[in-house]
Amino acid sequence: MSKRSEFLTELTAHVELPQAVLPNAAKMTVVSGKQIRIENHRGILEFGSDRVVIRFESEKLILAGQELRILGMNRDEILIEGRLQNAEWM
Amino acid sequence: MRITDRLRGVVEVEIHTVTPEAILNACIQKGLLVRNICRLDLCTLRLTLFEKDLESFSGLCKQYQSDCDTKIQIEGLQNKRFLKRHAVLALGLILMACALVWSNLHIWDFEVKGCRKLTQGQVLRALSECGVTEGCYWPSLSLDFLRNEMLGRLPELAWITVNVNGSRAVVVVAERTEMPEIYKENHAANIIASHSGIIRETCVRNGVSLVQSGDAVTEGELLVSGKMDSLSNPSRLVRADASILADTWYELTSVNPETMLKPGHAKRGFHQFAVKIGKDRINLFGRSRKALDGYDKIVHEYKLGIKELFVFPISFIVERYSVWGEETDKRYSAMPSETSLQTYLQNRIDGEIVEMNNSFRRDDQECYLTMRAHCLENIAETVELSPP
Repeated sequence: MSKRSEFLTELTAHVELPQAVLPNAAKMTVVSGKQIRIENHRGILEFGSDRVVIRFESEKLILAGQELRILGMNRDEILIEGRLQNAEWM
Repeated sequence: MRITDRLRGVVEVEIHTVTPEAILNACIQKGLLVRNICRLDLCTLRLTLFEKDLESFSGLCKQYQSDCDTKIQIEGLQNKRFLKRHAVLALGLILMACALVWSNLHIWDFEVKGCRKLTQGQVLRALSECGVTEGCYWPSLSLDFLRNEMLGRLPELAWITVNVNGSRAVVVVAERTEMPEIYKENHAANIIASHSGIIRETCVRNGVSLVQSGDAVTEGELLVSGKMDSLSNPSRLVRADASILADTWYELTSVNPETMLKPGHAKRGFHQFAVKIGKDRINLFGRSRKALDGYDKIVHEYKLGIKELFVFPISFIVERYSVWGEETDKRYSAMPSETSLQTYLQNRIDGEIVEMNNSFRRDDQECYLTMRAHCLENIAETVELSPP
């Protein structure tokens, strides 16, 4: 994590702001365990029908499930569809 | 497949690569919009991308030493090959666009707003005489000229404007306000009873009251006199002005025939269809010149277009003819009379109906409906005194 990000994280913690306001905060939204929206990613590390690994600025997200497929993606967002069974931040 | 995909053109490709994730990340970096990405096996990906991005994507695959196979390709409208292959469709689209533009420059539908005494037909007829009719070219209309012409033709009009929205014209009219009846204060008048009744309340503003609450008066009886006595001068005449609220009673009888005419059963009628293109009408039936007597004809015109947005100069006309038959039904005979009697009384009195009773009697030929009503109304009626 860069110094600027660390500073911003500490600042939000001190002023009791939600972490979501950080510009590059990793965000994941799950709808009924079937549709996953991931924001502020830095690329795909691994992609398979049962496992997807996504890189963020200072961490990575491992999604495990069945029949996973990418519905669409751009520089900031990835939309994944499938049966999500497990999500792990590393 | 979405309509936007069909218009823009999409390609479904399969790529064989040892580094599928690297290709996906490269797509993100280059701004290529790839969708519906599925992993088929260890080295194969299937994805969808827009037709315009195919060349960039193929170059990317070569860069990563991967094979790219096009599986499905749907050409979009922007593709020249599409236009060549579907020349008739393209020509049709162009013609349709031209027809739409042409149609929007002409008026095909009128709506009249603001009529109170004038009928929509009168306004439309006057507009037609001024040259504003179905199919007229609206950019050449002069609103000032039209307004002057219309105000001359319809004296009841105070103001008129025509708002054209595409092929629809909304005619907004404002009618003149009629001058109230003006009477001179020095015209002497009495107030008499317009109907017999028992007076409940009097409010005399001018004149000498001759009755009071609780008095029974007959129709035509003098209630307020316009002749005022004076001790010093001879009596003077004034215009009596008063409101006399009284309880009145009415008995109205309606006689209806036992057998009434009503629209015949649908099976006894028939339909005729026609199509109207511009001002020309094409009848879709054979006996157009034969007069159809004894039928009730109802015409419905369905215009092609989007309601209150624009209208095409094509309309479908349905003429429904139904014969009049005879119906014998007690309720059917009585019900309209009951409401019509009530409406008649309500319009006749200057007040309200307090209580109402109905009785119904019938003989072989006719039905009798008698309505007895108790009303509370203003029975003051001004009668001008003739000059001495």
